[in-house]
Amino acid sequence: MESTSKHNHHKTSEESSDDIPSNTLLPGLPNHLAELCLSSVHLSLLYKVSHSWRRLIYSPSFPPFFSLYALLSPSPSHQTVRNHMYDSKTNSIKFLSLDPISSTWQPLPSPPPDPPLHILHRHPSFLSRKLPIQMVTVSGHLVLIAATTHQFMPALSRPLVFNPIHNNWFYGPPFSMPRRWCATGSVAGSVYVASGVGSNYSGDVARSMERWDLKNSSDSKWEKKAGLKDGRFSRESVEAVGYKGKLCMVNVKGNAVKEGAIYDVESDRWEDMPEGMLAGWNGPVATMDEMVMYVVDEAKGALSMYDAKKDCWEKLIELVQLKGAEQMDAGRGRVCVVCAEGERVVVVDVVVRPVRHWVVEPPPDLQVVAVHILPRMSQTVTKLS
Amino acid sequence: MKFCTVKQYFDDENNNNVTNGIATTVIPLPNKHLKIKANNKEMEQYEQELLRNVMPQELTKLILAANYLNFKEALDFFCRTVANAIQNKSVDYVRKFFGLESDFEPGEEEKLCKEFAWSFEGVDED
Repeated sequence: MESTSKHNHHKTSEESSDDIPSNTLLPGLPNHLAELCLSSVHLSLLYKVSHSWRRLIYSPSFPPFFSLYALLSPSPSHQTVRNHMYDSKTNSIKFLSLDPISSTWQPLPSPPPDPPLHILHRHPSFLSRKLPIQMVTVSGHLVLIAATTHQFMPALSRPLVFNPIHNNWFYGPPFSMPRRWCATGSVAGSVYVASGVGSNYSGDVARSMERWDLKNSSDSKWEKKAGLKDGRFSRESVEAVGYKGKLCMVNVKGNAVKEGAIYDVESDRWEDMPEGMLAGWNGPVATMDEMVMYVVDEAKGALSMYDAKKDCWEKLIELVQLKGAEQMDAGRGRVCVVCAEGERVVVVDVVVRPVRHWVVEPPPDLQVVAVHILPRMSQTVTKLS
Repeated sequence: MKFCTVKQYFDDENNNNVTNGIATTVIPLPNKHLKIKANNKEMEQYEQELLRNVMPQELTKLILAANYLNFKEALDFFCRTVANAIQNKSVDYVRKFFGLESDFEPGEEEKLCKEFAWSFEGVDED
């Protein structure tokens, strides 16, 4: 076998006489056995050896690496935005995924055209105010929960879900009440929607909560769960985080007087947030595998980790680039933070000590609204660049 | 069940490529595996021995044999051995090991040498 491969100097990947065909991963082995060998090999190595090894890491059957998914909107300074922003037929928001292995931004496939999705991020008359667009990750899926249309109505009557392994979008069960913003998050494989505002404020909606358990695919519906005691969580969009079997949230963003609440899934009850947790919740919060909680203090640019035993926050790093942190996600040993009005994402490796960080910029003329860490999109095209 | 498959293996005409060497390596493996299942160190030593004495092509034959015999533990072991043999090696070493040719354009190869700045996969390599 070694001697025949020496004749292949000028072979293109299409030609394969008596030589190794271009889609064989390992000579002498059928591909499914070769995959067993290669599944634990470092990605950067797989990416560089050959085109067929590279195709493997994108195939739906191969354990996926993770990518950074971003919701983006045009920078307000971008000229054409002013012309198109109020055009209700086009959506200025974009879904892209940054593949860290190839270092390229890839667009997600378009959501289903029916029903049409109209989302307003900035109104031309109130450029400085951003309308919330709320998304949640659950069990390797990206779920769009709430947004506002150009007519200031709730944009979604059902959650819109993206599955990266199948590379497709689908709609979940209808909400009992579509909301323009709400408190939303996921824990233990279920998505929760609480409080918030529909087309108008309603006290019932402001105190309500419902859950969609994605694990139960045969009976997909929203179930009513224990409500909040008042409408204090209806004022702003709230990103709740799943932490050790509970859903944790605060009702006001950033460095301001706020109240916290925790929902215990097993007992279906709301409880108060520990004082230490609340005191340090001064910016976006995310959890790693629902076991470790991180916060970035938006004023100081300090990334901290929650110590549950001591009920306090341990600072990991303070960076000027982290100031103005707006949203974040954590996964696979990395914390990704959207900062500076979406002009950059700071990626922090929290596995090593001291922690390391990098800065990632969005594609030109786009600002990052939110980031989520999920498995990469599968690709079955034969030729990757 | 394992004995029946082994007999079939020797009777099967398609497998007359298999040398005695392969059979003698694979067949004692169940005993060895049972004996040292709890002892990882010995397994590691056995793996080192295997890598030293066995050429890559023979390793692939061992994988095929283990697969044919439906011997999951051996299959996992040999596949892991292959993965460990190339894990921290250079791209050139890996290609030589398997007798693979690069199918990248010359310009592409240079681009590939650039280190990935960050990713979501485990500890940094090199």
